[in-house]
Amino acid sequence: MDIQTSEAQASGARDPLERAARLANHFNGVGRHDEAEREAIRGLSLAPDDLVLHVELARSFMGRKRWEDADTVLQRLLALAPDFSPAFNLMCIVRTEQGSYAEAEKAVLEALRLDPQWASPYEVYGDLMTRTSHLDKAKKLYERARALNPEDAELPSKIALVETQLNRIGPAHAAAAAGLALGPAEALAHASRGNAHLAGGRPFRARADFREALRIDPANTSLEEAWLAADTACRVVYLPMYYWTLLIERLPGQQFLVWGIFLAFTFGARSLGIPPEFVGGVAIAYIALCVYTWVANPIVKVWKRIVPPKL
Amino acid sequence: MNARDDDLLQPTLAADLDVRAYGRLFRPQSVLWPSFFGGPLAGATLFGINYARMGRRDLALRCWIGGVLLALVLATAVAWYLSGGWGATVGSQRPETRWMRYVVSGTSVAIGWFIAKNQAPRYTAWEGAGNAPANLWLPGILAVIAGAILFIGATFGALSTFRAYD
Amino acid sequence: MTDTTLLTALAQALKSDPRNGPLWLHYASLLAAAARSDEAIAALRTAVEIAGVREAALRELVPLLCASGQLAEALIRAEAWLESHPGDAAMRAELERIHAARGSQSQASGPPVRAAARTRRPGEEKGDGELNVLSNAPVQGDEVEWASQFDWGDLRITLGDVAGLEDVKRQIRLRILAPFKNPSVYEAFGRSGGGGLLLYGPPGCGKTYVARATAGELGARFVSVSIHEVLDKFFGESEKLVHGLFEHARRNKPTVVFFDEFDALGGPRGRGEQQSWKTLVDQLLQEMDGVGGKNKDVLLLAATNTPWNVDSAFRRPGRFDRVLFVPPPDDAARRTMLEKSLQTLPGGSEVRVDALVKATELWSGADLRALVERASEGALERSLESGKVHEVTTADFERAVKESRSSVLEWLATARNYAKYSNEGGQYDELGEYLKRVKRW
Repeated sequence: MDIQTSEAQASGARDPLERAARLANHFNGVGRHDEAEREAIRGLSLAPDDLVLHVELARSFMGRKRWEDADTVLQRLLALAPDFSPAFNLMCIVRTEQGSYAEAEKAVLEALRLDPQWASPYEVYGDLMTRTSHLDKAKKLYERARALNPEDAELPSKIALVETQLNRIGPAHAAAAAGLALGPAEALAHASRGNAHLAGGRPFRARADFREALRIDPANTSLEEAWLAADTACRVVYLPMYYWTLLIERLPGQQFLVWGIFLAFTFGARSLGIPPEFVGGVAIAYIALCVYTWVANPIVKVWKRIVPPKL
Repeated sequence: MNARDDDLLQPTLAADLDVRAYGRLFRPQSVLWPSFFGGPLAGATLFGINYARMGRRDLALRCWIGGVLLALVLATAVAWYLSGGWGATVGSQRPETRWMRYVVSGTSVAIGWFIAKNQAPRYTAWEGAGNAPANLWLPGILAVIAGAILFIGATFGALSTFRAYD
Repeated sequence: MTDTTLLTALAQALKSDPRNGPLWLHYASLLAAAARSDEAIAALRTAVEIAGVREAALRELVPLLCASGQLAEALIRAEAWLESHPGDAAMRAELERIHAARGSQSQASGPPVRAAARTRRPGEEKGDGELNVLSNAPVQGDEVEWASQFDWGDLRITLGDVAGLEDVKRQIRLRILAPFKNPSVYEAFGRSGGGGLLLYGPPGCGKTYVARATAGELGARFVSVSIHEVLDKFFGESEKLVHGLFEHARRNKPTVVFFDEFDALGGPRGRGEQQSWKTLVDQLLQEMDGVGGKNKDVLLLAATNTPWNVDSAFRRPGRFDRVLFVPPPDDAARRTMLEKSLQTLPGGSEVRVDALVKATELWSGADLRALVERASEGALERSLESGKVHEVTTADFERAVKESRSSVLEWLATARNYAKYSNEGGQYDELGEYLKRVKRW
């Protein structure tokens, strides 16, 4: 058997530092963050100022959502290397998760100042803007990242999610399609299309998309919630409520505006000469609509217990 | 284009946007319901609490003062209407008070809607950091009851004043 | 010259003259004196491979391994030495110490029944029932010698030593043991022994123990490949080592090669992986395929807590195409484990086991061990205070149960989603049935 060897890489990786870094990177990549931490610390015991090992150590904490510990490591890293843009990039992620959004923005802007041609900080900044509801800016940042890294399958999906939040369903579908073309096996790609379908009045297609996303990434609880929400929308008892919600969410004042319209109609009907029977019918319909919106959710909850969602 | 000229790379977030320091917030859209049922005082109280928990005590104060002023204005308007202003009484007919109820509720909700829009981004950012909204049932019911009682009291106070001058 | 400077100088010298046995010994002794035992052990391991200093290196290495807690390797090396030097009283005494440390009876009265490294003379045939051992015959290449350094574990256990898990044992007997023991029957059906089995389940529930017991039943050589050593070496050496490992197994078949924590080794080859890693995994896949039927009678076992993180390429036919769920211990198994642990505690026989079994549903074996330790702390503290041995009581255990939690529940919650939403191939059917049975579906 002919065995391909990588002697050059092997000789480089015999160096214990490089070995520790590669092991830590590998363990972080497969989600074994405890081992990654161990390897990073082992490497740092040999070279306490190694930048790459600090990054891997920070990643190992981030993988376990130990944001404070990751923050400490990154601060130490920045003390060692004040112009190290990956550190600022990671710091933005950590600060975003901690909820210090202004600090997160400062960090990512510094990363971009140091390396304006690196796609990742744009994406991270876009995530921050999405989190803080600056959706137009988030979209532009994702597009800038995409221009720098057109092969990244996640970026079009993230653009799709933002477009959906902005109620621009057509562009959302276009972006979701681009995401699926690049990454047909990515859960996010399917989920972003599902979101667009759900916001665009196609709950059955949304359910199928979320189901596929869940098949790819079953451990993602938000995908499970999205699938269950889509399934709820597909139930015939809830279906009118679903379409009503789509309409209501687009109105300023939402249900209160509808109430105002109803009032205006009721009181203006007399002067408009509309027969009282018709007004009465409209009033009953409005009350029935109110009752339906109150009871639809509990009814569907009971129904789901009796007839669970089909896997 | 360098970072200084690039609009996309200008800071957007307020310097004090640190949701770690926030208390437990009410969902702003949900506060419209106490505003609807309880009038401006109920809504202002709850929106003000939200501002205070966001660390914006200045806005909280403005909200409460604004709520009180709006309640006084509306109470005065209702009292004026009930005392025969705006042609409310036609002969011996009683004035149509439900119009006033709708105006009070509608005004509270309309102003509340703007406040909710103002609070929504901070609330979303806070919720995105893994926080769940505070339960509004008990505070909402208390706010509605207290707000309604105070508003009715203010209305009757104004009505007595108008009738005293009649 | 300071110690550190001297050590650095020696390390430099060894880099330029890596086959200098006496220098390795000297370097190792200085490292041990400087309390750098890990480095000393590494140096001695290198020295053991150098012919002229093998004996001296082994005499230093075994006690050092014992002192640093690496008892499995110490045991194997000591037994291997005693096979070829049965009169060595010093090494026999060391073996006693190792057994004492491992908590098992000394086997030093005679040759070990299942010696891990008995020397086989060239041409010696393996008789029926004779337990296969690794040959110390000259091997080809450093990579194959490296392969022989892996932990061999305790081959004394069989499936009879595994408490509970009756269904798992039945599956193993049918799907794994029978083809090995009745090759002619299987050949009549055009099938041969070998292949792979992936054991998965919550952590601490005995997957590794079951794998070792399977090898013990077969009487085959058992090579346990620790991920840390493998990855460390794999990143430092090359794909030749993977080939060397499998060649060693094939040369000494029947062999059971066991990969623990396989998801760290066989994780999905994603876009972020380094190229050298992808090449390595490809080499592993090729070796598992065993071109030309070379993997007949080489059984591959692997264990993992996260089967969903194992690259699907590893689950293709001929590789780890058989998957077995190892659940947490059932009532009978927990009872057996608890009774066994209680026997070692003062007053243990008086503890009400029934209540404990009921209170520890869905606890792993590791959780039960921790429970026993926690419960015995109370009696231990009382004993230390009073100066006489106090017995452990049911109340101690009840308190310990309240303070402890099952570590399995979180795993079950994650596994449930995979069994529900990602089971197109039916690989999680057993898991799904188990979850429905324990009402965690």
